[in-house]
Amino acid sequence: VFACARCGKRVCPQHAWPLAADTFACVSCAHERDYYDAADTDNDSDPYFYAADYRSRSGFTETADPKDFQQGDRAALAEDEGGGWEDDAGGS
Amino acid sequence: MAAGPRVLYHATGGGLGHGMRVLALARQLSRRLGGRHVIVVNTPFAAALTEVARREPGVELIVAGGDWDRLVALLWQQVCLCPDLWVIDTLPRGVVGELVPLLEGWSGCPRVLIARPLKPAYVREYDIAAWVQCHYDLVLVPGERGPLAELDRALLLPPFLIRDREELPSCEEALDLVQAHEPVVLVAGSGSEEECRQWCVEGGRMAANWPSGAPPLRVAVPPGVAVEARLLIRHMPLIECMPAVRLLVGSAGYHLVHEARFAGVPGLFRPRRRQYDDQAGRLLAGEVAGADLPAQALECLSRPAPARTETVNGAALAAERIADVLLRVNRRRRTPDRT
Repeated sequence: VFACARCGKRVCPQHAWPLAADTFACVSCAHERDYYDAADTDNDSDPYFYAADYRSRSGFTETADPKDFQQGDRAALAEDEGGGWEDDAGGS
Repeated sequence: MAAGPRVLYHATGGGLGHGMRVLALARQLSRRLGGRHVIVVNTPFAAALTEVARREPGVELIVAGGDWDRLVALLWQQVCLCPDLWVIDTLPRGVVGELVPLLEGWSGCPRVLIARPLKPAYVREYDIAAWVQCHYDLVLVPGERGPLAELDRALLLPPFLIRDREELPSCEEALDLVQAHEPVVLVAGSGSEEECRQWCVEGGRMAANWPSGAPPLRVAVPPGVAVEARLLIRHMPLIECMPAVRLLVGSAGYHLVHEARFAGVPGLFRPRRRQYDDQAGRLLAGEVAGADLPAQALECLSRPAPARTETVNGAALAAERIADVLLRVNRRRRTPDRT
């Protein structure tokens, strides 16, 4: 468990966004501009930052879209690619 | 010893599909070239494949069991008999990587891959395209394009089927096979013994409320599978029943889907999770079985049957191509090296 460098909230590793020098931010703080720019991660493909992306474009409202992807959608969005290759003589 | 080439086939992996695809090719090659056609399988459905193979002159099955070491030892034994050609189905490295030491350490004959699609993650993680490019002489793409279809040495073909169109029985003959007086709705078990049992249960559920005026129901499972069910038939190969089938219901394996399309039989298929095969990707929108299978089946029966696919058997075309390769190789062997 990490502590958010801005608000001090305790966050699990999956929801902690790395900043410079071994510090982390919670998702809410990472959405704020300074932290977003400082985050050492590729946010373009992360569901938490889709909203940050489209809010910055003209023509969209600032209200959150209730149908937006959330962390819980990660499994549904991931491609079922399998694994354990060449382990099972009954694979097909 | 039989005249003609000795061809070794490798079809490891579960289910019926691997064995059926190489059997489809082996019988075509045997007709054209004679010779011995030895097929290595490790499927629990070996009894069903034996039922098909025993009708093919020159074709024999070896059922491999045991661990990786025993499988490799068996394969070494076979390659030491100096086959003229080695045909491998779907998994270029073998289902447990058993082909890796052989293909890297031995180059006694041309190798042909039957490239049913593989999941992209496997192809990527094991660099399968480069592996195939390095170790195979010809890649046959049997009706479904996967990542390996883009290789230079890939040959795109229609699906491989165990019967040519002119070999299918008449409707009257097929009615005998399905033990009915009119074309039936056939629920077909395949994939694994457990899935066969599940389809038997599903067939029983359908039969419980099946309207009296609807086509009769039948449940088919491969020979050797220990199940009991009402209305059960065990004919192999199943494609011979198709002229007497109004609707086919089953898992979305390669052969069930392509045999139905080939015969112009509508199908409702339930994709199953497989390690290497994307069964859902094989289906068209109208072919996917829903939750209320009986209602969907009756609705499907009220529509006109789809047109059959007017393709020839891809296995026959592949055999023509391979026969050409083999003949060329043999001709080269007979020509003295003048250098």
